[in-house]
Amino acid sequence: MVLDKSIKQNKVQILNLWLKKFTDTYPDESARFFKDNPGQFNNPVGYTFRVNMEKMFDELLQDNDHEKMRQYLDGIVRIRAVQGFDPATALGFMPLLRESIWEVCGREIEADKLHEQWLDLIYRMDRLTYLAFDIYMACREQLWKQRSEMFHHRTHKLLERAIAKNAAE
Amino acid sequence: MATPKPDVLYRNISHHPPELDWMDVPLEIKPGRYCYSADAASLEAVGMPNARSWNPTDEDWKLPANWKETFLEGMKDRLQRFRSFKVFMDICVRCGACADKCHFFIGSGDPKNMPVLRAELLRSVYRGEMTKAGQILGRMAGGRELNEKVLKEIWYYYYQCTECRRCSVYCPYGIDQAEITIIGRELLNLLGLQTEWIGKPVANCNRLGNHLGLPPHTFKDNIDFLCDDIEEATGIKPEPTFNKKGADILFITPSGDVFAEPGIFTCMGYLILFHYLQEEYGMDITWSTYASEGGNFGFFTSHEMMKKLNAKMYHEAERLGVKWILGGECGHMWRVLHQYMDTMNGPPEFLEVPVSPITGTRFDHAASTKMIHIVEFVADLIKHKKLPLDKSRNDHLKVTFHDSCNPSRGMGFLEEPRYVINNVCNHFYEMPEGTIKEQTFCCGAGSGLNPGENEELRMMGGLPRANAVKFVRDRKGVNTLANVCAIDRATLSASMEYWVPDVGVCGVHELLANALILPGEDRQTDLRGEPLPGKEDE
Repeated sequence: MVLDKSIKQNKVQILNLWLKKFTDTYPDESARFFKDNPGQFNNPVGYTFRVNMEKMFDELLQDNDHEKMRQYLDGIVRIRAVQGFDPATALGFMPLLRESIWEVCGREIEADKLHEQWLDLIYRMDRLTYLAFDIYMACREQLWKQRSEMFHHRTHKLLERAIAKNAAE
Repeated sequence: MATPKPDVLYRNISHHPPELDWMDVPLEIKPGRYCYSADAASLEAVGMPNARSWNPTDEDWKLPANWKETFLEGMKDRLQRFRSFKVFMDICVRCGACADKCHFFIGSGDPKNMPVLRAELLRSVYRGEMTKAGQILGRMAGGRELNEKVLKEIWYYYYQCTECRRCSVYCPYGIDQAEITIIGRELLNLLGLQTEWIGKPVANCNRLGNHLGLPPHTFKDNIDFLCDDIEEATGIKPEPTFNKKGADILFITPSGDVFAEPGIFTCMGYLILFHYLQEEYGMDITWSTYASEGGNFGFFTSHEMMKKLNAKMYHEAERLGVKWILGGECGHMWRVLHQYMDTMNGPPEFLEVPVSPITGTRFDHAASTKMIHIVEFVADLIKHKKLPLDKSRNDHLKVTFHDSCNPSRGMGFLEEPRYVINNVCNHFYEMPEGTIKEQTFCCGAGSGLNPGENEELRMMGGLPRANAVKFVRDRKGVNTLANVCAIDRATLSASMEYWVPDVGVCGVHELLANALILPGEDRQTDLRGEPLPGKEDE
């Protein structure tokens, strides 16, 4: 499609804009660190965001494979789910992709009347947002599960042994 | 009223935090990032001040009327008594070398988790209230007045520091944020601002000898149960001794290992090792049901409480008349021992310099504390070929090693665990440089930050470590994360479950016990009941 091709040609510009908008959801000092420090191990948040955003971008314009997208989204959403954001802000990075593409390619879409293709792309991105929401909920549920299991484990072993001892006596 | 359209709603969401000076950013106490406050009973039990019921999310923290005076007087007193604290308050040049080294900042993106800014929370009070420049120029000189908002901010962020000291490795001046946090928490404790997960273990340890509050018979029962489990797995039943007067060695380990998974498998490892050494070499080692805790949560409360709880171990060693103390796989027990014990409670003249009764090795580095780490003791046994080992029994495990902050950075304990692991496992893989040894990332929940209600904080803090584990899992197929700390075993289990779900957590002595060949044994499974390699079909 013409629009996909145009987006691919502007990949670097769109990705940089998307990353900037995304990291700007953090305070200035952290945004700079997450965006500019390239380290895989000393900046795992920024690195994970950068790598997975690029993979998502490429996949969106290729096969849009559900499982691959789930994996890439998981890397980002898993981090956002523990950072104390409300759900809308935690997942706000998906609409930011749409914004970034529009800011870079919007004029061309208007001029070349690519609205149908733009609408199709928006549907694809919306489906990703729904998927991100599923992952976010799964992460939050896992955190609560871990909490409850921790309280359970704290006493479980003692109770198990007290019961075994009573039975033996 | 008409329902607003989605695009209008979306446009109204601000994606950018307010741009304010750090002193003006309002404090928001977020759920999942703080630990519950200490019960009145926990503080009363050890005579800590201002014991009452309070909630950090309430406006009123029920502070004593003279709280400000108490805090500032306490600060002045400590500036006099602790040279390190005074120096650290004065010499920071805000170069930023530490800024991106804290696992909580790296994981959360909260600037007040940068070590420089965390220290600044207290330093600004020092400047504003105690230096001429600060008193005259106020915030122009980086000073501010202590008020309730400032106090709450100090509390919130000083219980988001694990005292891991990673930042100090990079500081050109050697400023140790852990020392600042220790004093900061000590000042907060003058006002009764303790957390329950620290306060309760302190009270329990003070009265019963361990954090969990296990009375002597329960402690013994639990170990007896572990001996039953060992018999099931190996056909051999260890018979440990308790409170044996005149034994050669007293063994002390974190009580978490005695009852909670996966620590119990490490504890079973100790029991198997001691059984073997007793049978083969006649080693005489005993457990205490009174000094039944290696950990020292007094370390997170005050210097005085740390000293008191540390002293229990030595009193018990003196009471039993042992020659020296062997310590288990613990984190901050070793930090307390290595950096504070000698001047707090030592040197204990009634003990001897530790000498291995099996190899004759004299551990001169412990000439003053008279206590050595079980991993160095075992490394020495392996070096002298005193342990028959079958490494292939751990062939189902691909192992990496997490350097616990306190033994690694706190006491330079880097090679011994690796030596033991390499002698009991065929598949060992290091995580990348910059994430191990002196630069190791914290588990995310040391220094009393492991209660569970702060799950988000634990996960954010654990991310840098988990990220490095994920790397070796993806590259090398690692499925086991070994370590030598009870808090690590508890915390990393949850952290792995969230970040790297197919990696398990174990202590080094679990691996050792799997490999150790016991005379007369009948082994089909490892200590967790999983079939040993080659025994899957039997």
